[in-house]
Amino acid sequence: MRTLFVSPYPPARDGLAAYALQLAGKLRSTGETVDVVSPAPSGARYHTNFLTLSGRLRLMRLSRRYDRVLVQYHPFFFFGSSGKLAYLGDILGLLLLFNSGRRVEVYVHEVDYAAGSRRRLAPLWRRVWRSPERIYMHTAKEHSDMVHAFQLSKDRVQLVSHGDSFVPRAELTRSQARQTLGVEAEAFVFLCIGFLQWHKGFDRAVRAFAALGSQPHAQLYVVGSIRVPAPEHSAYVDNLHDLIEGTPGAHLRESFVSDARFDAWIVAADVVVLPYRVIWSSGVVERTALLNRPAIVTDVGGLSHQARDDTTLVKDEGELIVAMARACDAQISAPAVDAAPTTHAAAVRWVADRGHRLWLWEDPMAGVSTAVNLPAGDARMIEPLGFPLEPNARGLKRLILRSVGRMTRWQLMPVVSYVNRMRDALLVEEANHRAPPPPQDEI
Amino acid sequence: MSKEDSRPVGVVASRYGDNVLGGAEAVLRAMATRLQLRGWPVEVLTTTSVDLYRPANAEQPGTRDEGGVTVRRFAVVPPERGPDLIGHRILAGEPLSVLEQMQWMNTGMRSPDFFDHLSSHARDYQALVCAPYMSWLSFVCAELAADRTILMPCLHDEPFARLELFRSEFEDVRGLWFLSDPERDLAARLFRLPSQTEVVGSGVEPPSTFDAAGFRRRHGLDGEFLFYAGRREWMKGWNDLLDHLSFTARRLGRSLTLVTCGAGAVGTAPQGVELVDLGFLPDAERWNAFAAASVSLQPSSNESFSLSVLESWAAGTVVVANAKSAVVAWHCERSEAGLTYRDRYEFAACLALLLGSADLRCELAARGLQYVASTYPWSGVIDRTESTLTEWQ
Repeated sequence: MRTLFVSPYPPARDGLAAYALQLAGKLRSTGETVDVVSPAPSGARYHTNFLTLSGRLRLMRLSRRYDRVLVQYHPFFFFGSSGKLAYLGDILGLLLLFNSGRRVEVYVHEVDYAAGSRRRLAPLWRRVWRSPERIYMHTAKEHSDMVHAFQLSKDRVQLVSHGDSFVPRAELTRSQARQTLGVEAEAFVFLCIGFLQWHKGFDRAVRAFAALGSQPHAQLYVVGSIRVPAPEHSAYVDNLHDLIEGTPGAHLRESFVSDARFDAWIVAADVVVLPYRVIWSSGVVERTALLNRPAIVTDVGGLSHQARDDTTLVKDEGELIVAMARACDAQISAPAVDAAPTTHAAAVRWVADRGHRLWLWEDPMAGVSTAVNLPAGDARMIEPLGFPLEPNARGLKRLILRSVGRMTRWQLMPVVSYVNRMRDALLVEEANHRAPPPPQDEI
Repeated sequence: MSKEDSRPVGVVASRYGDNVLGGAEAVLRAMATRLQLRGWPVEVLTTTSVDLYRPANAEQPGTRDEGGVTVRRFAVVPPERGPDLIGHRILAGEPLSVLEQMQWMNTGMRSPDFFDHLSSHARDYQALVCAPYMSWLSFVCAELAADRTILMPCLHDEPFARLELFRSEFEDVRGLWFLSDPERDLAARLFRLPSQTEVVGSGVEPPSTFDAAGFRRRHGLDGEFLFYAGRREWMKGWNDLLDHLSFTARRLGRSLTLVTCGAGAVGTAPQGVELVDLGFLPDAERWNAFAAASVSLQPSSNESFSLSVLESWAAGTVVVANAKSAVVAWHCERSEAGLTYRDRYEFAACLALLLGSADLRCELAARGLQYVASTYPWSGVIDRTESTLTEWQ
């Protein structure tokens, strides 16, 4: 069988690309011919922009040459602009792709379930998701959400294990891995690994680790890098830096991690901590299982369905602290977890304390000095520079103005880009100079 | 790893063949041949491209015997960088996001067929020896099979070396082969190196005799001339060399003849400089050129070994080199056989001194000859590569 795989592909470094490589390897080992088309140049045989008309037509032409088309779906790769018309075009592009091959099967990594219930576009979205012959989801929760959101037949949507085709990328013992990574041999090591973004919630792990007090042999390593540069991500990572700097035993290894090093870190760890705020299903959870390391994960998305016997699911900061303390045999003080107040003064303090902790737990940008938190009138009020809107004119005048606009657009592009980069830099700089939030006692 | 293992040692080179330019490619080719002669099973993994500046499918893809070595060639996709805005930003020292670095890496010359082959067959090789670190093929080896990759980085101090992208190539692979001590020192400053590293160096094997007079006759050269062999490009100091030569000609009050061979456009000869471009020269004729020259020039600050400096000495010719290249300065200092310059003034002083004294040229060149003969015979290089292949786990 000849299969076309529509997916990001290594050496691009992201979870989907790694997933694709392993799945392609598995299919090839069964004798299938697998070619890959990726959205950017890579190790794939073909590449084309999934977001342009010419790219979509090329995808359609390629699809017709193969017996089967496997699509790895993540909105990041199929949706570009936030404009209404462009969004509609993106949906139609997806519909075209799902209908162009002989046998189209889709691996869904993330999807906007709410799209299935939005009044205007819901019928179109349902049509999109009814087009593929098979849809693969990674957890029972995602399976159920998908079926309900787009009113799909249960038979059409199948459940596959996220780590079904995963293979280890590092053949190291724990001590070798620790030596390689410069991690203390005798320490009890907690690990948070992945892209450094607010929704991964690694700040939660740092705060919980701090609550363990001084455990001489416990260390927390936060490892990863920013994936998509944006002021809010930079500000989040700056805050993570500050948080970790003030937490003895916690370390930030901000680096662009290869697949082999990713696995080496997991092997080096005693427990992998993944306190995600938002997730659909997690490749890191699967790699952790593959390499036989226990994990502590928040009960979000489909993670409860990925859990194994050695996975601890937590719902809040208290449970996270307890789980981490149990893992490293740490003694923790009762107030750190949940001490019921017995006096009014204690109750007032308890409310303030719990409120503050809940704020930190729930609000992804809590404590982060970013433009997002700046009051009105500050630099954030400078809107990003965009291209001039379509002229508000009719007939020939409109045609001429539009033509002139399009012909000169390329000259404006570097200017717009440069101004926006300056704006971003200004916002981050301004955010960095703002006072930190008041200490806990003052809340 | 052992000779008895039926799995070959994969030698991974972006280009391979008689007419291929590039120091890394030359060293890999010599190593592949010599390792095979010592009984190691060797397979060269390379592309169908042979031209450094215009990557294209010049050779047929497939597996064949080339000079007694099994060579497996894969089709290439030419670079898609356009005006290479990201590359310019790297050179300007601008910080780049991970995505931008990946985009830059994946829009250079690449070979999806090589990627497919390695993703399915990496375990069929007992080791993958690759060079240089910036090659897409080396990057892929470190990504897909770090545990069996031995990287010969050919590293020099340049903005590209500071990209986060390359960290895993230096830190996660099975081992690193360096060409010189300064190269290893630089790598240790930039990266957290693995425990398995070795300065294996590279060998220099001059012919038994040179035909300097014949070279002059064949190319219509009489009188003293300066010689530069290498890529004629900005990164290799070509533009500065022409500027320095013009300045020196003015200072000395005489014109200077620069004979050059290699790839890249030479441009227009500046005032006071007679430029003789011989294009690509076969190995034997290049050796003759080194022997016939009065002084050999190395203007590049981006060198990880500088084979041409060693070849100059091996041919009995004195060297004037850019002091900004740590490794070339190191060679000159150790051997006491070359002069280095930091600017056009020192360059002019070097040439004034050497062109005015044939005795000094001979004395320095003799030291260079001895340095190369005692330090860089191929037998020693292959001894070191063999022992690391055998010992590294």
